Amino acid sequence: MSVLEGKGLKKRYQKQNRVIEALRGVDFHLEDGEILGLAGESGSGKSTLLKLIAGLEPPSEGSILLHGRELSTRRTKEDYRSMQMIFQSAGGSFHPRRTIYDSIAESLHSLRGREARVDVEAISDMVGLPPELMSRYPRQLSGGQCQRMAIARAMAVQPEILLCDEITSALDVSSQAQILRLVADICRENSTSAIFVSHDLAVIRCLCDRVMVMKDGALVEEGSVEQVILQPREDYTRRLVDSVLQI
Amino acid sequence: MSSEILSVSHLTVGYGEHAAAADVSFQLQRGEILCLVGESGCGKSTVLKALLAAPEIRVLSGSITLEGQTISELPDKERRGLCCERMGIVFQSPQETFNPIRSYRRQFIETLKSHGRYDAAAFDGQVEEAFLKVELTDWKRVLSECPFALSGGMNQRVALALALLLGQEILLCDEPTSALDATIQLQVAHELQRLRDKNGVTQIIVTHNLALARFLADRIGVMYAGRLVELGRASDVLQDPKHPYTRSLIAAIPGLDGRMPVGLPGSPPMTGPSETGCEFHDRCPLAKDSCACRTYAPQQVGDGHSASCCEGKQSLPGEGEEGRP
Repeated sequence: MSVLEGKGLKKRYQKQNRVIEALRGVDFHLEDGEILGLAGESGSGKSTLLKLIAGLEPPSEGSILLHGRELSTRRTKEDYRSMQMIFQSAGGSFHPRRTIYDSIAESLHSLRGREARVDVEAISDMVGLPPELMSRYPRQLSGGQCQRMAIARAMAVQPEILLCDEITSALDVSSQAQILRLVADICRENSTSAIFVSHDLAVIRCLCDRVMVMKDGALVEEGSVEQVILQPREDYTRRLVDSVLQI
Repeated sequence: MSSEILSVSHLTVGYGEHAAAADVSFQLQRGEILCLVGESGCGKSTVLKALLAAPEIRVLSGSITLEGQTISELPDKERRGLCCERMGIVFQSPQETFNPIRSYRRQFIETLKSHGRYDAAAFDGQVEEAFLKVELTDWKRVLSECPFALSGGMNQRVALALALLLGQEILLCDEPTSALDATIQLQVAHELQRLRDKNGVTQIIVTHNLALARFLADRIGVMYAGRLVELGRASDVLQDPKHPYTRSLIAAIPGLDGRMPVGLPGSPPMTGPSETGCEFHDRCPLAKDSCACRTYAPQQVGDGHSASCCEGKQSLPGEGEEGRP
């Protein structure tokens, strides 16, 4: 059984007197320990899909199943704990006037109870940062360090699935390479599954097992990363592959 | 007349007395693209701001020469006027370049007026010409739009058109594609390439991405902690990198071959250039004890190719590893 499944997911937004269809019926599945890439341009619906999965917004139609159990629009704490989202702007996802430690503790206490303890050593070791950085404020960290702390916060509640929304797009290439390796290592060591959204197919190629390519709210191609990237069937996928600047 | 348009010699600039970039030297030939690459905080944008005579930047030593005139000696106001007349800039975030809720037409007129170049009768013709250079044929409609109504890539092309409209000879671009989707990145890169090839626009492009530099640059300058650690023809720097840092930047770029990119451990120093020792030694996979105290000055390593260290010829630990199976 898949860890996570989506069936016929649709999302409509009302904008003034127009209806915008951000998702037009998407099916997907995520297997145990798998990293699934979600590729496409801005406006293709990949971030919307991630928001529906994370429970940040309800779908207009369709259902999401965690271990075969349909998730209601009112998620339990356990549902929220099992799926953790990491955003593009790590700095923006931390409270600017709280230390990193306080933000991680807040997330841990709200999802695992007040008695849960933040293991500073273990968490900072997992993301490869010195423990003293936990007492800093987000503005005192670099973009790459902040993104590592966002991963630390997500992993602190021991989720089954990581949802990563363009988490390396705002970083320079060196920090990006560090974060990609970190996500790969963490998923392998903790048997965590992940959905990794990116517009950059080179990033998806080196990290993911399988990829889904989206356009205008619908799925255009799906398969193993080798197959989709090396032998794309759709013109749109080929265009995305051709746009990758390589060294 | 020499084809050299801009020359930067042993330039040290900073915010107040604190140097953010030190001993930077390069020459820019007419019609060439020079890419300055490096991680966040390496001083590449500071150099760009110094060329534009940004008020917060002070020239501490060295000189900037524009077509034979040493402009760094001029009073600030005069230098700024001259720089703005001759050099245009395109920023990373196109949304922040323009006021989102004023039409492009009004903003174009306002900019031209502030440069003293507005001519109502010639305006439409000039705009059409500039828009056609960036392949925007639907220029009348675009000009009447407000920036919020257009995509990031479209906004960036309009920003390019505006820079061209001012008729400046040198275009400075600060991370012009970083905020864009991969497909749009490629479009903007093509525009910049076309501007050089068809219109002979000289460009300095600041980017953290060596893959973009490979696509665009005639020459590449690699910066680390405020110093230019390697400079040369793009093919020389990419195919035969001398400095270990250049090599590390190349190894950090993900490719379609599935190889897991190798990121440098740690973060670059945010304190700018140091007085003694190589700034890179504490992150350098090939560092020796002597690197902490020896001063590394740029040395000639080939025809038009200089580097402040030549240890990067060896391969780095972790290079060539495969990604996930």
